[in-house]
Amino acid sequence: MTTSVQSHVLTQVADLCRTILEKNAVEIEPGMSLTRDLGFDSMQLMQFFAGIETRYPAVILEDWFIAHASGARDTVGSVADYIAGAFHQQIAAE
Amino acid sequence: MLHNSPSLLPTFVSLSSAVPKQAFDQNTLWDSVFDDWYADIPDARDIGTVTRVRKRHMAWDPARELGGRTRGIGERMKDFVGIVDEVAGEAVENLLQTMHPTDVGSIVMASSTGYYGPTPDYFLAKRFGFKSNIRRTFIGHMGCFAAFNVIKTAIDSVTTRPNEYTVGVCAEFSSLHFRPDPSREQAIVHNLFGDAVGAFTLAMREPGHGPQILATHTHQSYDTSDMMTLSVLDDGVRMTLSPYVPFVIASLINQFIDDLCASASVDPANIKHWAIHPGGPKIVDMVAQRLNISEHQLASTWHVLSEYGNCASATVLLVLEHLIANDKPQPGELGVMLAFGPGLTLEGALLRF
Repeated sequence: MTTSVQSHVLTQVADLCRTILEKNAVEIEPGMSLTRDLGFDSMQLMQFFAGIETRYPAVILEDWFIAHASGARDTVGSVADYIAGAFHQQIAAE
Repeated sequence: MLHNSPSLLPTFVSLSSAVPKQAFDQNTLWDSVFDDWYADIPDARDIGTVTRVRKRHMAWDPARELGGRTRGIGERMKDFVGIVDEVAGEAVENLLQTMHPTDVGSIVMASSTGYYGPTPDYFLAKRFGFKSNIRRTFIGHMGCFAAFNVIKTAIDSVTTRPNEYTVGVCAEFSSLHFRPDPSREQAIVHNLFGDAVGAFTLAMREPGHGPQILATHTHQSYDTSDMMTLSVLDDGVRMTLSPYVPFVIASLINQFIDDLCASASVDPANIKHWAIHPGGPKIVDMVAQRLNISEHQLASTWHVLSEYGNCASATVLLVLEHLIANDKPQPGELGVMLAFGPGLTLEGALLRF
């Protein structure tokens, strides 16, 4: 079930992708791979990670990209899920 | 620690390198062939700049040998036989200026770009008059970190037989595997890799005879096996390179250096010299950022990337050779060699100059 947090994060991640691609009108689907479908190179990935760090300073993406970088599993949705999951864990811990 | 003796350690007593005679700058390659291969890739020509490679030596001129077609693996391997004998022969000949061939007990050689048997080390041993009972090892297909497989095999040889020399050779001719594959990933690979041979002689020595190896360390990242691959196709060896590679290496590098240094009871803060395999500019940038390595300390790494490209396993030996000549490390100063490759695998050696 998609929570409001997940939905909000997904919107922010998709917006960040559009900013990096410099294409405001492009359709960003949750199942799109950052590298295979959106064509991010290492420079664009660096922009992406920096953008996530700015928006979510408490989230460290290292575990995400080690787990998802292979086989086009680096989807927009998987990043959003990872960030939302980190949020839920943080709330539960508090 | 590699050895109980505090002073007698495996030591690089000499280093040497050689390259194919023909060299190409990036603009020449784009004008002659890459503009055609990558015509459908937006801003493709920028790739030639982003790699920070200025010039490369190449056994094959892709415009002349390939043009718009590809060639079979057999033709590529046939040309490997000739070029490896020529260029590796030049590198080994340089090593022999400081020792007699009959003092060499072992020869260890690596390549990920050419295969035939008897392996090239056999022909080098024969050509230079090494003993008929020399121990030969050929290490194939490990990728860009294979210098460390050669070094560690050499360490085993000289620690077991401390009166002998071991010759190590890394011979890579990636240009023999260029293919007109019109993808952005392959454009990056073809704008990064060059050809070279790096070679060394290792022997057990007291301080003052060359860089001593205090420790080596390896880390395999078991969750990232398809981030960098070397597949043998009908028309050559195809390399793949994920854009995540620099990030994975960066995420592992601090712990890696801590582990490497801890095995020799060295404080990482005391490392003064860095010979880093320039797998690509982003890898070097991110590793340097994580380890607080200055641009001055990266001079040899950037020089080799700019003037030779990524020469796979030979590269880190070229960087070390340039670092010794350029930086002139003082006796007792510490250094680290690093290389990365398929796995992802991180390899390192801690040196005392």
